[in-house]
Amino acid sequence: MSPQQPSMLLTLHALRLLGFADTESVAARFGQDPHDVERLLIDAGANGWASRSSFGGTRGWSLTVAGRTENERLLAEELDSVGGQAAVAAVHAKFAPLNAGVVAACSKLQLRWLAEGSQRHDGIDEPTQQTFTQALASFSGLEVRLTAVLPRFSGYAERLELAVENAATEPAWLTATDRDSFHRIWFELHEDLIATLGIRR
Amino acid sequence: MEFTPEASAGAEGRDPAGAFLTGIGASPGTACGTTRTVHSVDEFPALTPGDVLVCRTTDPAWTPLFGIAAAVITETGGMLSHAAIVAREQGIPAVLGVAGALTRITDGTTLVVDGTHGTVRAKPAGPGAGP
Repeated sequence: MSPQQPSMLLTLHALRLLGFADTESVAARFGQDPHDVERLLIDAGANGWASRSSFGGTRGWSLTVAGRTENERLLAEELDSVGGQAAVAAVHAKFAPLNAGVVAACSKLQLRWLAEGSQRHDGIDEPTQQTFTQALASFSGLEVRLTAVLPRFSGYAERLELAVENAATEPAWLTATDRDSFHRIWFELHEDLIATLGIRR
Repeated sequence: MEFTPEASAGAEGRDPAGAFLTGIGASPGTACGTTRTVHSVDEFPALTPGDVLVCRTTDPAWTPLFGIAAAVITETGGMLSHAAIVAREQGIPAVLGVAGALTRITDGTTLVVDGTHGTVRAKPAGPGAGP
């Protein structure tokens, strides 16, 4: 990802998408400078938008409710400034059926693994594999439409492609939570779309 | 058992299997723990390892909580929701789509969550329980 001008919008939004993360991870999410992001996070903390804490043995930042509200205000301002409401809403409408297929395929895989008690190097059946590859292909076209109005949406298709490649030899790359798996990326993308449009889950 | 009182909260209000609450069993297994009702990110620090997470819905920010919770109960979602997928990955029971869970479950009670059958019930009294 090309370097970005540091901004509170990208910093708060990275936290929104990552959930709990250290300064380096927040900076890396949108290619910002870590020193600038540390300063922005401290400012966010002073404003009550973010808090630094320990969780699971690691130190990191997370968004507060007030930070989430500020994030949504900045996202709405951003969308309005580029006149992107119609384009992003149209992509979201196309995303919804793709999402239904992806979560169904993830669930089908997991339930099969649970039923069989099988190891995850068993491979993936062709129809399930097709669901992921077709979702990726469809989204790649949608990402072009998204980045035409909001460049910060770039990178999802590339990450999804890597997850699919890795899943060919290790199917856990489709659903795992301990790596940049297909579902983790997809869940983040879903959050990004609804946050950008101001839709509540 | 400390649910918010309801007109049908007596024995006759329970379902035939004796569960106090039912939902969709979205991630299998059974776990017992202290409930933590979490309404927003600001309440995340209240959840400690082994607690039962009770919430309305989840987004990616909630994923780390699944790594320390013993089980999860949500008001929304179902078999095909993101929460179900994350719970299965973490190997914790999940009962989703429990209407009114945040108001019907009192924070700090001990519950048994059965993610295989989609039920939530009180912890059975132990043999040494007092009168």
